[in-house]
Formats: sequence, C-alpha cells, structure tokens
Amino acid sequence: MKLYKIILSVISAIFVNSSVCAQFIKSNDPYYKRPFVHHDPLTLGISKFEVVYETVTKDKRFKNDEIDFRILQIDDTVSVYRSYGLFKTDSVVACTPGMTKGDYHEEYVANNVTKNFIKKIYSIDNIIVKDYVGFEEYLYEEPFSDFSWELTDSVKRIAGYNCHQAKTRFRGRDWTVWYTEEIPIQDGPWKFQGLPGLILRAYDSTGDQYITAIIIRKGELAPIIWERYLYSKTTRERFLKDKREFMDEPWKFFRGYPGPDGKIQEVPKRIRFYNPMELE
Amino acid sequence: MSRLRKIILILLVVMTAIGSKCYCQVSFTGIVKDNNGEPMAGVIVTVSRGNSTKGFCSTDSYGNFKVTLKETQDSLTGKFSLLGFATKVIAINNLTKHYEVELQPQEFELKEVMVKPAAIRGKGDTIVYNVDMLRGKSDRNIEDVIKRLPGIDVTKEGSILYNGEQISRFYIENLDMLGARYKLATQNISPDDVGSISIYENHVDKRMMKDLTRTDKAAMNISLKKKSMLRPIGYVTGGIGAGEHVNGLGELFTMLVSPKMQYLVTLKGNNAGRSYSQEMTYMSMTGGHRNTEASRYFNSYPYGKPDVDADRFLDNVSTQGSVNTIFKLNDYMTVKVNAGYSYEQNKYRGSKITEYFEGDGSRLAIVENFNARLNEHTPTLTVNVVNNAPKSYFSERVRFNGRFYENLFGVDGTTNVIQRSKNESFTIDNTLETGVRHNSNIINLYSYMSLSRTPLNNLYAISDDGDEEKMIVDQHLSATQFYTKETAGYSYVLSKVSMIGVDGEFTAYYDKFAGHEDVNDKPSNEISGYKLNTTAAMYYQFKNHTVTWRTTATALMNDMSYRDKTDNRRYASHKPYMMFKTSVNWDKGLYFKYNFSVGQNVNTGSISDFILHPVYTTFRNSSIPGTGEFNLTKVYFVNAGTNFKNALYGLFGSLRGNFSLNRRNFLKSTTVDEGLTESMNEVGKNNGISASVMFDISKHFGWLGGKLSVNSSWIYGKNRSMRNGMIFDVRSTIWKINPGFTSSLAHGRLDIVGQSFFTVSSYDYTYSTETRPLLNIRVNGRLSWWILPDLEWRNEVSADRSSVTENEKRTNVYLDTSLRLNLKKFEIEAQGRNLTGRKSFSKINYSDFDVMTGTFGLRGREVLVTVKYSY
Repeated sequence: MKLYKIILSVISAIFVNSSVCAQFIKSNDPYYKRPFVHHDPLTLGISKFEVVYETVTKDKRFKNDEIDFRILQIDDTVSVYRSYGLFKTDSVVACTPGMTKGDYHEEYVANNVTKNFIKKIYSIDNIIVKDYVGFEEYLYEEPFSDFSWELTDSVKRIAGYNCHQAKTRFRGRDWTVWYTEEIPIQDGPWKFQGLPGLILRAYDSTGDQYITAIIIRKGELAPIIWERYLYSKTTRERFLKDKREFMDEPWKFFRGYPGPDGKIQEVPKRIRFYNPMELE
Repeated sequence: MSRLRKIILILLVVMTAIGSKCYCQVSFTGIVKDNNGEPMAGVIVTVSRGNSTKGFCSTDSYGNFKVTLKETQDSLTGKFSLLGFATKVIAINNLTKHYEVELQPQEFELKEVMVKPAAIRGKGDTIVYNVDMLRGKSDRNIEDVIKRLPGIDVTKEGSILYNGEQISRFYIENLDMLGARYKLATQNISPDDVGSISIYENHVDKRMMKDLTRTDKAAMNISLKKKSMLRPIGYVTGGIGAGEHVNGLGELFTMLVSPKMQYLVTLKGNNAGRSYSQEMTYMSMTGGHRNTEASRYFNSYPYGKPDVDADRFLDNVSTQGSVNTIFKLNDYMTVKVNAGYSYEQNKYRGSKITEYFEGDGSRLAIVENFNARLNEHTPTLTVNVVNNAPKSYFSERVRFNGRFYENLFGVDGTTNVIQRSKNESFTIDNTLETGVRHNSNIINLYSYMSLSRTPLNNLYAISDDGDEEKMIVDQHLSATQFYTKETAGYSYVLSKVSMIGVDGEFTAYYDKFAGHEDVNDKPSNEISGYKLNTTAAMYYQFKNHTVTWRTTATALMNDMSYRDKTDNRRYASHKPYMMFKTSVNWDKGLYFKYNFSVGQNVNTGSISDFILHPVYTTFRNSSIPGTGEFNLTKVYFVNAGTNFKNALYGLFGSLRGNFSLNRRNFLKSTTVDEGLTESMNEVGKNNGISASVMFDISKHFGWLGGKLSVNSSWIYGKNRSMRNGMIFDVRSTIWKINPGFTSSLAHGRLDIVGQSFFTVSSYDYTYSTETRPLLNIRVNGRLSWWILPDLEWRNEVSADRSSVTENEKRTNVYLDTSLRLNLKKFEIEAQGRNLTGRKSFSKINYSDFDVMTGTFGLRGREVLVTVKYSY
C-alpha cells in the first residue's frame, strides 16, 4: 500500500510539474497568446544553392568570442546573406500553422536571431544592406565594391573543395579569403564578391573576424525572403557612425524609455560587444 | 652639360620602364557562346599557369571577355565556367588571337558538404565538448561520457575534476538545481539526452562580482538536446537475479528541464550490490554540513575497506528516493527544493591482522575476524532562494541533514566480542548571503548558523570468552554544537584594475560534550564552552585582462573558554594572531595559466582539546583527543601551478606543487598492549612537512575516438609521533601514476576503455632499519562489442596485484560480462558478475608504525536480468 502511494505521488509530481512548466514557458502575458501574423514577405527568388557560414568575432574588451551562423542563399540573379537563426525560424513559421506570438518568440530566442540582411543584385552590381541601431531599422545601398583582389599561388582544401587564396585591403582591414573555382559563383559571405569562384573562408589580419563555410548544399527550393518592414533609408557612412555611437554608449539611446511598469527605466551603463567588419 | 646628361638619362630610364610596362601588359580576349551560337553573359574566365591563377574576368552581356595579364607567360590555360554548363579548359597559345569558345549545357553537380563541428571548442574561458562526437555507444550515463573528456577526470567516488581540481558548481542548462549532489544527474542522465558539456574556467557565480574577481575553480554545465527539453525524460528499470540469494532491483529516474523550471526525481531499491545512497552524497564543492564532537568517534569501517568496488564486497539492501526542483522566477531569481532519503543495510566480513610496533623494535600481532552489519538512514532537505542580479546578490538557504545508524560487529580472534554502536545525529543550518554593488562601492554580508545535535551515540561490547558473556564496554555519548559565522565585507573600486577592501568575520562555537562509560570505571567527560574567532582582513587587488594579484593581511583574535565539570577545571585563552596571503594568477595568452600563492595560516583548537578521559571508538581502541592545552597549528605554505589547454587539439595539462610547513604544539601518541590501543595527543613541539607535486595530461585523438591520459602524483609527509612513550619522526612517501585511455573504434561498434593504477607507498621512521616500499597495481578494462547494431556484448576485467604479506603478493582477476539488447525504448540486459569466482581480497597497508593485513570476503558469482524502459 505504501509503495503504491509512493508511485502515485511520483507520477502525479511528473504530470503536475509538466503542466506547471508549460505555463511558465508560454508566459501568462495575453500578448504571447495572440496569433502570430507573418507580414507577407517579399520573395526574391528560389534558393538554388545555400552556404552556411560560421562567423567568429573577437572584441578585445570581452573574454568570450561571439559566434554566429549566417546563410548565403543564391539564385540566378540575386543572393541574400542573413542570420541562419532567422532562416530556421522562418522555416518553422512556414510549416507551423496557428503559431502564437509566444511560440514565435520562443523560436526567435532559441535560434539566436539577428536581423540584418545583405542583398546582392547581380544584374545591376548593387548591394542593399538592412541593419538596425537599437530599435531603429535602417537600409542603405551601395554599388559592388572593387576589392582589387590580389591572387596568390596558395591553395588549400576547405570543406572538400580545392580553394585558392586571394588578399585585399578593404575598409580598414586586411583580408585573406579562400575561394573555390569548383563552384563558379562570384559571391561570398558578407559583401565579398568578385572572385572567380565562391568564397568559402575569410579572415582579417588581426584575427578579429573569421568566417568559414560549414554547410554547402543545394537549395531546397526555399524562398529567398526579403522582409517588407519599414526601414529608414540612410547612407553607409551615417549608419556606421550611428551604430558605433550606439554600441559605445547604448544607455544614452535608451534613456527615457518606459519599462513594463510604465516608469522610466534606469539603463545600466554597460558596453556592448562590438567589432564591426568595416572600420572605415 | 652634365645636368642635361642627367635629365636625358632619367628620361631614358623612365621611358624604358614605361615601355617595358606597356610591353608586358597583355590581354586574353574573345567571346563565349552556347551550343546555339548565342553569346553567354556571366561566364567566369580564368587564366592560370599550373595552379597559379594569373587573372580572371566574367563575360559581359555580349559574351565578350578580356583578361588582362601582367606579363607574357608560357603554358597558360583559360578556363570557362558557368553553372549549368560544362567547364571548358583551353591552352592559350597566342595572346594576340581573339578566341571563340563554345560551352555545352551540363547539369551542375554540387558536392554537398556539412563540416562537422569541432568535438571540442574553446571560447575564452569556456570549453564546449560535443557529446555526440565524444561519447561511446556503450556509455550508459553522462558520467561515462564525462570520463572520456580530455582535461576532465571522474574519481572513483564520482567527483568531477577539471585539470585536477574539483569543480565548484554543476549546472543543468545554467541552473544549479542539485548543488553538490550532482551525481544524481551524472549517474542517471542518458547521453542520448545531452547535446554538450561545458566547462567554465575561473568561474565566479555571483554576477555582481564577475568582472571584479576571479577564482581558480571551474564549473560544469550540461546542455540538453532540444528534443529532451520541455518533456519528462528518464527511465524505469526492473530486474531479478540469483547469487548467494535472490537479487532484485527497481529504479525510477525522471527529469524535466525547461527554461523556467527543472525537476529531477529518483526512486530506487535493490539488493544486488548497487549503493544508491552514494548518489546523494555531497561532493565537496560548497562544503557539507557541520557535526558535533560526538558524531565523529565511530567509524563504520574500523577494519578498513578493500581496494575493490563496494558492490563486490558489500552484501546490501539499498533504497533511495529524492525530489529535486528549481524554479526560475525571473532572469535572476531562483527557488530550489531538494529532499532526499536513503536507507542502506550493508553486510561485510573479513579479517584483519595488525602488527603493532611496540617502540622497542618488537611487534604485537592482533588478529580480528569480523562480521559486520550496518544499518543507516539518511534524510535530507534543502530549500534555497537566490537572487543573482548584476548589481546585487541575495541567497537564503535552509538545510536539514540527519544520520541515524546502528552497526553490529561480531569479532573473534584474539578476543571474541559482539560490538554494537548506535548513533542519532542531525544538523539544521541556515545560510544567508547578500551583497550590493553601487558605483565603486561593494558590500557583502554572509551569515551561517547551524545547530547540530547528537542526542545518542552509544557503544556496547560483550565479550564471549568461554561460557560466560561479559559486558566489556557500555559507553554513552551525546553532544550539541551551535555554530555561527558572520562576515561583512566592503570593497572600493579604485580604478578599472585595482580594488581595496576589508572583510570582517566573526565565528562562534558553542559546544557541549558528555560521555560516560559504565563498565571499565573510566572517568566521564562533561565539557562545555565556547570559542570565538574575530578576524579583520584587509586586501588589495590588482586585476587586468591577464593578471590578478591579491594580497591579504588578516588579524585574528581567538577567545576560548571551556569548563570540564568532571575535573571541575576551566580552560581559557585570549590571544591574537596574524595571517597573510598573497596570490598571483596570470593568464598567458589563450593556452597557459599560471598561479602562485604564499602565506601563513593559523588553526586554533576546539572542544576536543579538553576531552581528557578515554572515549572508546571500538571495544579495543580508545581515544583521548585532548591535551589540556589549546592545540595550535601554524601553517606556512607555498602553492604554484600551471594549466595548459588547447581545445582545438584537445590537449589539456596541469602541473601543481604544494609545500607546507606545519608547526604544531602537540603530537599524536599511541600506547599498545594486547587488550587496548589507546590514541591520544601529547603536548610537544611537532614541526611537520607536507609536500606534493601533481601532473596531469590528457589528449583527445580523433582516430582513437577517445583520449589518452596520465595522472601522476608524489606526496610526501613528515611528522613527529609517539609510540609507547618514545618519540619518532615518521616519513611517508606515496608515488602514483595512472595512465588510461578511452576509445571508440570501428564506427562505434567497439568501445575499449582502460585505466591502470600504479602506487608505490613507503613509510619509515627514526631508528627503523628497513625501508618498506609497497607496490600495488590495479588495472581496469572494459570492452564493448556491438555484435549487431542493437546487441552489445560487454566485458569488464579488473585485476590487481597487491602485497598480502611483506614478502608475498597476490593477483586477483575479476570478470563481469553482459549482453544488452536495445529494442527502441526498451533495453534487456543479462549480466554475469565475478565470473572468475574470487572469494576474497587481501592487501597489506602501512600506517605510521604499524602493518595491517586486511582480508575481505567478496560476493560470489551472480546473474542479473534487467529490463529498462527509457523515455
């Protein structure tokens, strides 16, 4: 009889706690119970090739490196380089009807999403960048850069592909990249392009930036999505200046924002991890 | 004239240079068309010489290309490539020619690649081990996986060491649910549920202190796979077997992990040899609880333990239940509750021959054959609330720990005795910790209070020599301790790299100890009193990205007053002492860390210094711990160490050295005769030395699917000790070297794990004419072979070679085997234990002057069939 009671209490502990847990996860805020509406994004094309890059950034003020994953989706006329976490979140949204805002929030947080995009339009040699400063989202355009690549004789095998080395100095950093002629696509991570093959690895001379391909695959006919959110138009130089000011002293920008209780928030004076790809 | 000549010369040089430049810049031009003759845009044209790319371009919308080359070269090739068309390579024979190239359609074959993430990754002070890449298929729980990780060792007791040092915290998804009882997790969680294991080096658990201080301790975090989150995971096992009697086993383990809440529940029982209470023991990370003076006199294993696993020599009944849960109320606040209960009944038998050194060179041999039955109940409860915010810290913890046991020993040999000891002890403690950081000011407060009671600690012994039974010991002990430790600290941040502070600490002990022995007419003990320690410590700390230097000077005021009611005497002391410590930690680059510390400590005595009448610890051993004076130990120490890690190459190493000079005002003394061994402390100058050097290295090898490791140590100790009234200097030296390896071969179908232990120990003392080094060797090996994808045949071999007398060595070999069949969520396993049928284990040990030969009976051959359901 005693054993029976013990087993019953353990089983009830399991299930009672499960429901308690579920409540905690979904949060009691009614906001999170509302249906999630994905604002109809613009489909730029169908992803024919996809390369997932691991990016490692160092900021000497911090001990730990920042590791992120980004995906380059390539179609005939366009490519988009964006957060792999966002790509995965979009995939879940596409195949999960009836998601709540809470569900979306969980996915968003779990996938470590960052919202910045780089679109390269091959036909007009143009780049469009969407990025954010604090809560503000910005967009700027620039033509394909002339990287003036210096080709070297070094060769290396990366991810099973024979790669050649090229070097350049670009906007304050000395870059070394490895590209493969086995994939004849003049593209690469971030703003890099213009070599006779896909760039699989890139790093700068300080060791602060390191990008390497970890997945190379055929596109699974996933749409190349371009968010329709309203972005304020700016210039590259202005954006970099604003971003630097924000990341150095973020508390100045958030000053005066009300918190959940309606009161003005005291923002802690804490520097953020920041070491941009472009220094100039 | 000469100027004109110079100008002409310069012009000539410049024109020559320009001319040569003009001459060298050549182009490879042409047009690219498809098989229909249509010009192709976007074709990549590359000009190479061997592997060297000399130039490239892509065709314009009319199919035209022009690759400009720096100079004319031979053996050039042109390559034309575009997705969807076959790549064409042509030899460039004539650069003045306008080439026309045709490309044929061809489907592009992409080599799909997924680069495996590195098995071990380093991110600053964090090392992340990928479990799927490092585990073996035969690993039963996450502890088996942890044993495979380079840089990490798991002791026989289950403690986790990183670079030879115990971890300070154990987290599951960054929440500390179990505290120091992490074996509940490591010995139960399946490797299938774990994604990665992380080590946080120099871990500081208080967020408000993270950028200001550092520790030498590391923490471990277990990250579950996404599929194992937000749902109950665990297993239920049932089993039955046969050996000397019918064996049974039932186990339930369930756990749920979510971002806001975790729980872990266990309920287990068996008589097949497994000890479940050991899962609930505190690993010494955050300190156990305090005990009274009376709780420490009786040892459950007065005849020692054999060097074999407990499940080989204990005939047991073991049950255990625990409920552990933690709630994360917001980003910083957690509430956790841990409740547990265990019951162990252990029986063991054996014999012990002790050859006591009698001081004059002769030896007295005492033979004791024993049968022991131990019963122990251990209830525990912990409630802990923590608010670990960036600018403030608060923690309130209440704990209850109980230990209730009754041990029965039947002894024959030199004398025939039945001995029974019964103990009831419990401790309730409360820990309050709080701190706040405001701009450059940091205030910390810490308060610990405990009440320990041993209302009952009795020892009875009945002699059965001949026809008459005679009570030879009838001892009753009881004790109470109230202990409190209050600390307050203030720190001021002078600059980004330096900080000063002062820590005040007040420690109070109130102790009461009473004991009487009713048969041998020994005087009783009845002592009570207090000890107060008041310290003020001032420190300066320099800390930048690589170096932390901290120097502390501490003043201690020691006030003690104890009253012995039996002898109607009062002992009091009020003395100040000084202590200091300086330490340097240097992180040299990514791979090396160095640490060095030097200082002096003072340990003051306790109530035990005034227990002046014998306390029986067994029927033939008694102890008089007190000298009637406050025991004082001054310790001068130097510690130095270095750690090396290269996560990319899976290489970890550490070298540590410690030296201390211990100045005591007392020395250990024993008197031996046939009826009684009496241990006591005597007043006297005793300068001892202890020194150790430890070296650990481990390396992960991809081809081996595991690691090679070597742990080695040298430990030296020197002390002064008395035997039968004569003073000797006793020296001990122990060398240990433990090489080991883990491997997973043939795509995981073959797991081989091996570990060997070589120990050389020696003791010698003044006037001894012989040095007595003893070599013990133990080798453990495990071979798991997956005969079929779901059928494992596992063999475990354990062999040891030990000295059983000073001139005789014995080799023991044990073999266990099992067959395990995986049927999705079910697992059926048939195990055979001790197939070599070893009946006993013998080993010789030295302790200071004496030689002890212990022999223990072992469990016989056994079989056990279990069915496990995992979810």
